[in-house]
Amino acid sequence: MKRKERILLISLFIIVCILIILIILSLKTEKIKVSREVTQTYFPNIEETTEKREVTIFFPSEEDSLLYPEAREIYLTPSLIQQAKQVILELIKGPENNHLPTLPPTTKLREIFITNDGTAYIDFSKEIYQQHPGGSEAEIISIYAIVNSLTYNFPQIKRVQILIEGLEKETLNGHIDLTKPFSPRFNLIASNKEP
Amino acid sequence: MKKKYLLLIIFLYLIPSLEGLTLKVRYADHPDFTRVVIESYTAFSYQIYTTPGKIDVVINGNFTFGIQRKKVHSRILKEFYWEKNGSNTIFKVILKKDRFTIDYFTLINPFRLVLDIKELSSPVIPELEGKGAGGISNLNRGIRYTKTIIIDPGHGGSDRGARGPSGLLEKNVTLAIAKELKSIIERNLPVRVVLTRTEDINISLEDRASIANNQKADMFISIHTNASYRKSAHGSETYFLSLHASDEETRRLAYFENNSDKLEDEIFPENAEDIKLILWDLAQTSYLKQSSQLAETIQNELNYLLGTTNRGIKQAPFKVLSNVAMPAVLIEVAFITNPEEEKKLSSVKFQRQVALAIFRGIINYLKSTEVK
Ligand SMILES: [Zn+2]
Repeated sequence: MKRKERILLISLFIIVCILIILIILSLKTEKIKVSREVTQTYFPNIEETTEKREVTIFFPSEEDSLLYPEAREIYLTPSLIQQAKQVILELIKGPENNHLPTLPPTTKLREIFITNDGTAYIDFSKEIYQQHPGGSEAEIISIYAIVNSLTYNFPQIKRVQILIEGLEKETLNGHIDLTKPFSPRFNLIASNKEP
Repeated sequence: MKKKYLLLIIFLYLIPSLEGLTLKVRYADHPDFTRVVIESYTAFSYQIYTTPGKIDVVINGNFTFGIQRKKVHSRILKEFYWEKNGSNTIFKVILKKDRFTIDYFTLINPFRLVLDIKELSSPVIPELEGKGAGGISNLNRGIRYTKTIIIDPGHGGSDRGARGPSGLLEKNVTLAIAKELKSIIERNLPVRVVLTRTEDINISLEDRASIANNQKADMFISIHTNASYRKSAHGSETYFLSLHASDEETRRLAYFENNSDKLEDEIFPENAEDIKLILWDLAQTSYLKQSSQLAETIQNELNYLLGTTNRGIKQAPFKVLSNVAMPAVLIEVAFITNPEEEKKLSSVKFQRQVALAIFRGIINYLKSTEVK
């Protein structure tokens, strides 16, 4: 009797162990699934149209603390949001000419919303500040590269607010106020320098 | 015979190009500054270096300036001369005063390099090292009405701020300069100085502003070190708050008006009023004018200290400044991302020089507000 009980206990223990392991494993795979879904939404599907348009995107340069234009072709999608997304993705991808990047290349574009009064909300992943060098100049240049690139190409966008991980954040790294929308500053563009 | 002709032909050929290489110089005293203009038929690249009482304009290429040396009659200029140095032409401006600041920019058609030179008043307290009570006798109403100055060392705790290439941290430099500045002010002025943090701890931007507002302080000075994607970025900058929207919209309209026929139709739709000006009602709004004056007096001293040129005061929407109800500036002392400046920033001597420069700027600001 005692022996039988012991065997029963041991087998019960083993079953419980296997169950726990199974639960942990299933949880893990579920987590992987979740994160996969998220990464998918990080890369917005851009509709590929036959017609294209040229846009001007701004990058910093070793030269001075101004922004320099680079031309890009984007798909002329009927949706303004889709066009704006392409501009931001090009900005993240970085410069092609002799210019410098302005956003960490690991930054992901989560979403863009545009309100009727012309405020565009650009939602970035946390890398935009975590991988950022900080400092006023770098913050100003990153922010206005985004703001100027959007407002310059899309007259419907009049101001731009930056969100991070879906939320309002005070600053990137302690300097420029992100809690209000930015109007463009075209005087930061090199060719448009005021004397 | 043939040789002579050949020489003549070469000579004739050279005349127009020689003329093209001659630069014209003009100057004029304005109430606030003295302007020197170098005019050229062709654009040139240049660097500007300053030492006390002297400006070197290094022009890349072979140019001439008519007369070798010229005495000038001006409030601040003494003489001009120029010399060749390899493939460069150096135009030298000698000034009557050692302490000055310079702004420069170029214009086209024809190409002009414009230098605006401003005299700096002599240091208020020349002998700071020796307890420096000398300045106080001159101190006037501006200072008498100033009771509390807040110094805000940027970042702290887990917020390290920017980081230099060899590992220097912004939060440590800002605290060192702030402490030095506090002790200089307290030794020389009858005012109270409060630091927003005195150790390596996290303090939110809102709390920094609250500390200043609760103390009913008269001045807020935030100290930072700059960072850039540009390796060569250098020099100091003093900022005051800009309101997010506002004049930039007007600039945008002016920009499109001047530059793009194509975009004009798109940007001026029938509902043009829809481009509204938004003015944020911030605590700082009513102090912007004083803040810009304070920024200017501090920046002038920092330019002089660092020998930096062309670094004016700047405006940007800084979170920490927006909630402060008093004249407020944010100083980016130097670029911690620049290896040379990182080295400077780590030295106690330089930190002290920076603190002294800021102190002189504060004094000059207080002197200028005395009249009102
Ligand atoms: Zn900082």
